[in-house]
Amino acid sequence: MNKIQTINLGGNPFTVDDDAYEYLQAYIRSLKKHFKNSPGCDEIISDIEGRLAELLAERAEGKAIVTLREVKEVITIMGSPEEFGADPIDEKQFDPERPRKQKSGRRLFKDPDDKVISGVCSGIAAYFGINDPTWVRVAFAIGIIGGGISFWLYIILAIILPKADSAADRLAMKGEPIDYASIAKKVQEEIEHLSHEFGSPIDPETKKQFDASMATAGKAFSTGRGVLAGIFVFIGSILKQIIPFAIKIASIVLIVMLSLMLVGLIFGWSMLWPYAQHFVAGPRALGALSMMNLFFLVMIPFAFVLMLGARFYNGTRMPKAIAAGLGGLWLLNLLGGVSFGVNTGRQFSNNANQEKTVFEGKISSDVLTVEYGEKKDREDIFTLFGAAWIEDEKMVFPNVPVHIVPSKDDQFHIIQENIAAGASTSEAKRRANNISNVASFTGNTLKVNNYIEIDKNDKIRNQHASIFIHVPIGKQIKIAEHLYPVDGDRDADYNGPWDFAGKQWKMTEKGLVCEGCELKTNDLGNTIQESIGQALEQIEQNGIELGINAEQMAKDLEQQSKDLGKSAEELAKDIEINVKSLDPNQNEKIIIKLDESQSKADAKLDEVKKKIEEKKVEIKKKIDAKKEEIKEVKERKQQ
Amino acid sequence: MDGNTLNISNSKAQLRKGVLELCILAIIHEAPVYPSDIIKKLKDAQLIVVEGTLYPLLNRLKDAGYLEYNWQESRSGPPRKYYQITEYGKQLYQELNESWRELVQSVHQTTNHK
Repeated sequence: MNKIQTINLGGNPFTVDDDAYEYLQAYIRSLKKHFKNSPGCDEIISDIEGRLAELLAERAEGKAIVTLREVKEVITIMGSPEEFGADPIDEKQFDPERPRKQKSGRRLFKDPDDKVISGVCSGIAAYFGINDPTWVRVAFAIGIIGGGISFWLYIILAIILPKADSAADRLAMKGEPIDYASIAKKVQEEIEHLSHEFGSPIDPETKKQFDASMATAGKAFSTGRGVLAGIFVFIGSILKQIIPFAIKIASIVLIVMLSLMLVGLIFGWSMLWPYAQHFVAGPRALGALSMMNLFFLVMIPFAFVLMLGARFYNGTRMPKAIAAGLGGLWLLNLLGGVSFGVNTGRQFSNNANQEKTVFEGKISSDVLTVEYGEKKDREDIFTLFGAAWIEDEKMVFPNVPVHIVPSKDDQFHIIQENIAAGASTSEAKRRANNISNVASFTGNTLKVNNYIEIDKNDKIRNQHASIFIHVPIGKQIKIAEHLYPVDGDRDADYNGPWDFAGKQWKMTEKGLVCEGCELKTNDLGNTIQESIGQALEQIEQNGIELGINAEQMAKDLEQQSKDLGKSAEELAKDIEINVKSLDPNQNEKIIIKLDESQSKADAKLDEVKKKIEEKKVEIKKKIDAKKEEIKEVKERKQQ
Repeated sequence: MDGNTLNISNSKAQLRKGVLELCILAIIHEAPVYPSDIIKKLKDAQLIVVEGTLYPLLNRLKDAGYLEYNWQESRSGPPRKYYQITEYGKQLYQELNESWRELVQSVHQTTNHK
């Protein structure tokens, strides 16, 4: 594996891997050094870089990454520094001026060549460049005595850190650059070291006493006395021989800290005590017994560590008989704890849910109101993590969620769904049934308690209850303020406020929509636009209607005027006839007839005028009505 | 020192180096060229082995005023330097060419009469 980087060579971008980059850089550096005193140094170098780029581009065509191979090829063509008369590239170290980025190249390993237990400490020492891993070991030992975290840290590191098996690993561990030269150097060093080790016996005088004790601890570990024994011997030997003064301080710190922890543990334990009978399977006594179990399981190791502190402090040792007794007791309690755990855990293996109908049917109002019934709330330290508590021998769990869903028919359905676990499904069902009822329905109001109660004999077995309210389409539901938590399927297109509490919701075909809630501004704009569009359409429609009406009216008028014409013609004919006859006797009659025709024609004209007037009024009314309608729509949307 | 035998290849290189400037001037004399073209010609003529040796030479000739260059856009990559000969360079070329001919003659004479 090799890191890559992008470089600019003579104005061309290249992606090169680290080896190639280092080599190229070393090459250019050696040329620069050579041409340093020539007048056109920079220009020569940039010309050469340009040509190198050209040659590389030819070779790298179609390849994503330029490797050392291409770079070496190109340099062969361009000429090695020696051919320019320059110093050859230092193959051992491409880059002598700039020290390699040590941190980024380093990795944490276990050092198998310098280990007391597993090589974690020497690995860390190598990583941070500490020459003597002893200091890291001492730091770890103090950490173990002081807080115990470093003990677990050590165990974890011992498990997860890889062993530095290969020469490359060891170089990475020490942060030295990985290249052939340095690996070769390392291998050579190792061979020398080995030959030295085998060649001459270990001089006891050169070995510190500490090293001997380290070896003892290491042996204790490797000869099978167990990790703990190894660590204890190891800790003991360090503290005894290297820092006797620190022992006293550390052990006092240990004792004080452990005592404080002890007080905390006992307090926590006593807080848990009343809940045991609500949790541990079996009769009440078993709950108490299991708590005693827990007590010994935690306290016996505690006592051992405490005694260890005392031993470091002034050499007090726990009598072997007592230690053995405590060890036995601990094992016994471990067995007991496991059996309690298994028995109780078994009762979580099956889950079941039971539905209870709270109400079903139509209600007298269009709106169903949901309110809190009884409300229970506690946050003091005597609760079980603030999530539950005991009241009248019953467990109280606050938190009953309410779900609003559409009804499949035209009736309201209010259902309490209970969930519980048990060793068998039937046991789980029985438990689910035993969960207290949380809702009551009177009038048009549903009251929902915010908690469930669980009988002591049922134990805490994952009991949950929730209320489902099935709302018929078109009906509404009003949620009281702060009724929590409520959820339901809202209309996907709905754009109003999102929280249910304190609002009235209408069930539509598409889901719940808040009644009387303000829509978001954006959508108001859209709505107005839409209404205006609708109104324009309406006006156009009306216009067409008006046109039709006018046409009709014109036809009517034409007809009427034709009628009038006919009447006039008839009249003229009459007159002609009368004139023809010109009977003086008839004169009187003619005049009368003329008068008659005149008044007839006048009446007809009046009639037509009236009709036109009527039509006008009618059309005006229609237009006014439409205007009103449009205005109303606008106003409604604006609200 | 037993450098005599060791330096044979070096002497050859020196010989070549001496006429290199003349050859470069000859190539550039014909038309403005791009260094790659010079390299190609010199390589074909086996006058240079590694390309890197050309650049310091071009630089020196340019600094002495025998050559000049201008940048020309290339289709692929950054702009390229095109070298062309100056009046001064032409003069040098003539002189060098002349002395080369004389030299060849002299060498010919000397070596043939040995």
